[in-house]
Amino acid sequence: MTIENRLLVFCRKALSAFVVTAGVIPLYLLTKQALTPELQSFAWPPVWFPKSLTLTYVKDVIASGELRTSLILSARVAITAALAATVLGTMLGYAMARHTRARALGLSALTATRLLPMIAAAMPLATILITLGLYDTPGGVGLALVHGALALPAAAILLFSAFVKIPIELEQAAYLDGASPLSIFLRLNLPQVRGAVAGAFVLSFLVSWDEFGFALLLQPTNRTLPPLIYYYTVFGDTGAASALALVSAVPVLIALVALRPVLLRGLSGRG
Amino acid sequence: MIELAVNNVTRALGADRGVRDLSLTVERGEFFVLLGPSGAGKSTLLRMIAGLERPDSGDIEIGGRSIVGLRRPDNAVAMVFQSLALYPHMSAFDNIAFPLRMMGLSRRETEKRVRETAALAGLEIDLRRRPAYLSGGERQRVALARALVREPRVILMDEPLSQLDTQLRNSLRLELKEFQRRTGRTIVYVTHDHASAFILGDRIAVMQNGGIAQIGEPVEIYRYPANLFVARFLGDTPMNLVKCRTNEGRRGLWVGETRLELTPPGSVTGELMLGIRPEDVSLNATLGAVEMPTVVETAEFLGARYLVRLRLGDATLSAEFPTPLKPGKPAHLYAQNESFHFFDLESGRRIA
Repeated sequence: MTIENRLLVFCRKALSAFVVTAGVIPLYLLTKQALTPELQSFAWPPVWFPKSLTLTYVKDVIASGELRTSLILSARVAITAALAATVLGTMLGYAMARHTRARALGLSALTATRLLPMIAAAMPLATILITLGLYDTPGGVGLALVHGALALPAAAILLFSAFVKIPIELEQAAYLDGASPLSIFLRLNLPQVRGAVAGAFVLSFLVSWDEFGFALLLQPTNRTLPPLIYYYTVFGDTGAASALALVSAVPVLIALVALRPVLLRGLSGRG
Repeated sequence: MIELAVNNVTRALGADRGVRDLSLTVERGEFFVLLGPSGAGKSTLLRMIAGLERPDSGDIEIGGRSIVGLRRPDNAVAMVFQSLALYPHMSAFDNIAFPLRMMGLSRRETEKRVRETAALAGLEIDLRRRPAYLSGGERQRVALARALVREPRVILMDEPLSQLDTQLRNSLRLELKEFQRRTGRTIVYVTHDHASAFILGDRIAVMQNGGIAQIGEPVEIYRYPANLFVARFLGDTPMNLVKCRTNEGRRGLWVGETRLELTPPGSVTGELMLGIRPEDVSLNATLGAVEMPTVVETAEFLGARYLVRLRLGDATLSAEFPTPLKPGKPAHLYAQNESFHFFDLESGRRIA
């Protein structure tokens, strides 16, 4: 066995270990917690495999109207945010790919906004949303806009790296073939970055679906899922909180599995 | 009838790039080749004719109408790019149909013209395939068909064959020439390869530093290069160029201490550059041939022939012979009077 191969094997093992500790174990613990009666889940020393299971928490959570309202709100916010980030990110990414000044400006602006501590932006944002009448609304439009802005840099950079791979000669050929700038963009460029568009949409969706801080501050009564889970935990109902978290993970898992081929293509920069 | 006229066009791209005060005309139905090394300005000129770049000054006319500054050259020009620039996400059919769709042609008319043009370009494939699933030659044909389908007045080609292997390139080159003869299209073709230029071109413009060094038919340019640059640039083995001089009061030319029985045209005196192509040199004395006493230096095996380097006075000559010569041995070379070229040493211009 050559050195390169051993290195490769080591790296693969490290990756597997990471996936297990960061993904499989938390997910297992969450599932266990959601399905175990309270006495057992607080047993000391902790047990890996509970003796009995219960569906009480899951049933309770599903039956409560709170979950349904939060679920719908979370979905609305995440879809709006993802749409905004994807549409804007596509435009920004294209501009950055085709214009060197826009590229320098865009990249520094996008990274600079991420350097600001988010909590520093929260108060002013709350003030702005209150002024606009978008603070803590049942539809969550204000929060969606904030989430969209949060997801924009990653979406824009993802699309930029996809657009920049399209040779400029293709656009010149289309220009000589009589295409207008708009049809060059819509018929030529956009179809070639479909994977990246899908990737940007799903990434942005997840950013919003998962976001806690702004959701807590900007939607104190009309809650999205993460703050709702937080409230359950604070009030000591860990079983319900776990069940809630489990339920909120399901759509994400489904989306990830269903879109895996497209996402892999888009995120690895192959189309 | 003049199809394309370039009048005093200048476009500066930095200090030594671009095109300078260049004029030329291309006749309808002509296969016109722009030949030159990279950086000579051929592609810049082609892109200006295409309308992708705008000249700083001067005018370009196609079919008698100026195209400078037109938003889109419409049916005037089409271009085949070096990379071919096929749309990768579209089928071959959609690639060829794209210009027609942009014109807003009906579905039936589009279909009809795409089929006709594909046949004209020699495409005998399933047109539903995408470029990634086509061979190099098929891609060339799709690119050609896409350029033809709109029936432009002038087709521009930027070394479209350069990325193919030699065999395929040679066969497609002949086919392109045959196609152009048959259809009478006007083609402007850019290349840095003189062999392609000779085979394809009805006329060739040799470009040098953003200007034109010489325009003419291939044979004319090869036989009578207008300056040293053209003389060096054409030919598989470059022309031998040796410095020589006249001696006052005596006939003949001297290369170092070796005298040649040659008289430069006109009454040129002093130093000048003497040129002779390797293939014009022979080992056999023929009537009226000029003799060159040389010593063999090296002989390289090229396959069909040997490339032999020989010392003539203080200069080295290359020549090609079917048999090798022994290094160190003297050799008498002969060439006809008219195969010698004379150039001015200072300006590089041909002395006629």
